[in-house]
Amino acid sequence: MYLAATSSLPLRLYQWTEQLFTDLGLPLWLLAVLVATVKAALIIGFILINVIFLIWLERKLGGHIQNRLGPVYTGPFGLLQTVADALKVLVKEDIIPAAADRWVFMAAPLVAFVPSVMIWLVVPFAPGVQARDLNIGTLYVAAMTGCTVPALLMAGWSSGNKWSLLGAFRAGAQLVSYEVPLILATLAVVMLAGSLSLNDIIRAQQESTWFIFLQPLGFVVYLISAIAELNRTPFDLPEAESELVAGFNTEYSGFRFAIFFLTEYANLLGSSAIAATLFLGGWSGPFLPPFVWFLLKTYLFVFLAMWIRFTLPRLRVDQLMNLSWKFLLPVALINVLGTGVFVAL
Amino acid sequence: MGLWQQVADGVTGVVKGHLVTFRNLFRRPVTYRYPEVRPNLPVGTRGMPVLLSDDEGNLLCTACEVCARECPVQVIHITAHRDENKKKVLDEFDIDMSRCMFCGICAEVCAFGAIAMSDIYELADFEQENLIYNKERLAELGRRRKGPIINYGIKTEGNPYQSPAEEAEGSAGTADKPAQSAPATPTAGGTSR
Amino acid sequence: MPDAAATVSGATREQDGEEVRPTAPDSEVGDLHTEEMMINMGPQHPSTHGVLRAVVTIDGERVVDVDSDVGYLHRCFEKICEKLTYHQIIPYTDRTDYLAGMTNELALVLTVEKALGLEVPRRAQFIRTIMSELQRIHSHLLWFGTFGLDLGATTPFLYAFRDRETISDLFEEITGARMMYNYMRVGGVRNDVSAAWVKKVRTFLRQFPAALREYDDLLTGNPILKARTRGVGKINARTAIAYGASGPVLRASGVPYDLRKHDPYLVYDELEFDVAWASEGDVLARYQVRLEEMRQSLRILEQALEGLPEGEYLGKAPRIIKLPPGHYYGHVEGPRGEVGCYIVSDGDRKPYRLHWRAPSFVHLQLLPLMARGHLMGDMVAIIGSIDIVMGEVDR
Repeated sequence: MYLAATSSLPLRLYQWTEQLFTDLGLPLWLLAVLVATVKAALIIGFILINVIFLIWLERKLGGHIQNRLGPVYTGPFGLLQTVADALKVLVKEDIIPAAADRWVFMAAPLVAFVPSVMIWLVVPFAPGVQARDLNIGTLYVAAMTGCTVPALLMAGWSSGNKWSLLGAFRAGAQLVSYEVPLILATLAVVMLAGSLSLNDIIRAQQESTWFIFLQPLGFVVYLISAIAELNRTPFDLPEAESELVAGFNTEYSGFRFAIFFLTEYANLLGSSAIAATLFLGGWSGPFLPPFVWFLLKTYLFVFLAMWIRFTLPRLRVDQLMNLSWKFLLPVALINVLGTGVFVAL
Repeated sequence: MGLWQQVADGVTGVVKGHLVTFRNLFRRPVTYRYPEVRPNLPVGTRGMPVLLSDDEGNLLCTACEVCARECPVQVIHITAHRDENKKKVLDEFDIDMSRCMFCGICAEVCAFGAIAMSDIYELADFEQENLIYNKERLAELGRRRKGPIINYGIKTEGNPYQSPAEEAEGSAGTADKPAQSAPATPTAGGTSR
Repeated sequence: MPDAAATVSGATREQDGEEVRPTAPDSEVGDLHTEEMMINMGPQHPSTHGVLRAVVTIDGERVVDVDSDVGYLHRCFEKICEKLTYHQIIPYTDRTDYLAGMTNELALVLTVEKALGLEVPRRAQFIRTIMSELQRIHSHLLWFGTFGLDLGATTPFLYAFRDRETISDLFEEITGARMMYNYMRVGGVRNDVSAAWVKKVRTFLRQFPAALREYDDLLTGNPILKARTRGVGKINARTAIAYGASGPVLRASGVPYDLRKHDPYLVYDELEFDVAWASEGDVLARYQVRLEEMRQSLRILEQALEGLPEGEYLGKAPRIIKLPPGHYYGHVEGPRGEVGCYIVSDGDRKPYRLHWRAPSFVHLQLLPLMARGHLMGDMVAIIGSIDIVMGEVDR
């Protein structure tokens, strides 16, 4: 059982529980299950709290960018707006269209939600505070983000709605296309660090400098691809409001829609955390505690994504593909090549 | 235009756009919290039409029915009888506010200045019948007038939906208006003309 | 015009040669057979600008055909007018193109005045000019915002509304309403403008160019916007004329025809301004023409405020208006194009028949020609670029 050695409190807690288990004569696999559950609960709690804040932030930021106030009525500065909305959405009737493929329709939001949480398995919050330091961390992240495609396809296909279908097709094409430059951008970072483990990448950045300075091109490619992966403006084609009504989630309402919404923001948070780790040195930084640094850097990326969202118009389907295959991919390849030469020297 | 030129133009365009949004992030929002903060409507805003009265509280309306005839949507209903002096006396004056389109023609054609468009615009009600305003209700609203008639319209005070704080502020706000003292009696055709 | 119809049927393919995409591209990919799909865009759809229903046949994302279905907002405007006196019609005209009430009213009162041979006081004419141009900016601002929204940018919408609000307030102060003005009168206007109001308009004229620059930075210079609009929804001059297009749609197709110049009404012949036009005929050209029109409107406003004379704002007009029997047509350059009012009178106080020439209705017929062969995303941009108002289409 791996657990961080450097942070003492969780370690002591773990040792104490282990002692308790041996004293009571309980099997140790039960302990492993307990620890896993606690970690999962902590991570999901972290995600939920942050998502609530993120949605509020997006609306507030969007409001002020657009000379509006944003939410103001619920709680101080409207902070509880998301809570109110969530409550509203949860008590709504669960509508499943008659034309829908029932089981697929019901499963799709969950299939979308699970990978967005799974990413957090390898995210290093602070030195040693990590659910599991996989030695193939970055590969794992790429694999997990790739899992969103089937969920969106399921949602679009099963809705029995033409707009949903179009949205799902767009989502499929878009996510697959942008996965490639995203991974190539990550690859350059991995080459610099010499490891796939996210912890090692942070340590490599502590030794040299933040990779954003060594990899400006890579960062730009990552930023664009990540925003495309997140289906956010200017790449929000799968749910392009003005074109496809609401794209793949046209027919979703109530808590199923809420789960999609939650997934979207959990993914944003996840991608931001990964970006902070890969390019901004993760939790490393002076003066402030590592966890604060981690949050700050994550939210810097979140702010960037929101800022872009409220500035740019949306691309068209073919332009989206062109941008990925004809521009980002070559740039990413050149970047990888350059990094290779740099590392070899 | 070469590729690099294109890329450069694109990047400048995108960066410029982001600067605009970033600048606006720190601007004061232009919206306000409506039910708490109310718009300071100019006199002459066409809210619901009301009936005006003279000093003694008698309606200025002479039941000539011009407004009822000229109303494009025909929502004004007037009945009158003639008294012993063969003078017309107003019995009923109903406006169906659910169909009124606030064009202000009634106020405009009235030769006696008996109708004016008020600044009352929050007319929602739970009962449709309540939207048919009779003579008494229209006159009551008309007596809330403050200030002169400008552009066939008046401002009112004691708006049923107005918060007390706003009301105090509102009366202070109108003090610096060009015409402060409300003329006690609106003269015939008493508009700014 | 049989000749024009022939041009028109072949127009999709022939237009400007190289830019045209095949109407049904690669329906067979290897052995894979694909089918066309019919999809209902509207009447409840975020970007059909009201209640337009477009039945779109698509092949994948590519639009094969568009069939627009109108009438969801039909309110019998023309029929109702047969029961109303000319003064009573004025508030109804506001509700046809509800984003440009001033110019609609103007079309009606100019026609009536023409039929009566009325002389309108000069001050009233200037006020009408000022109101028309404010209305043009007002309307174009809303178009700018919604066009940005159609392309997926939410922020321009709010900025446009922020600046549009100023004009709304200006309108409200004089006319008493923000959209349904009911301001023009046969022989003049309803209320006089005050010196304080004129000052406020001047302040607006001073501040608005900065807002326009902001729009340019935010949207016009954006590479995504250019990529989305250039070469999309092309209409050549011949087709535009054949279909009776007017306003920015016609001018963007290379025909610098503007009623303010070519059939001057009010005091436009005394004012100096340029007709904004472009030759490309695509969505980008229409976008640029509208933005330039706002700048020209500012020029006109500047001069009109300068020349605003003292005097009567409402001239003498008969109390009961009866048009002599006959046919009358009057038109003005509205923000969307030529707004025409055709009145048949039998000498009564009410028109025997009133027909409204609505530019949006005419432009909507160009939609299939513009959209065929483009993608769904373009379709939205095209609908946005012709700036339809369904209230005007259905009346």
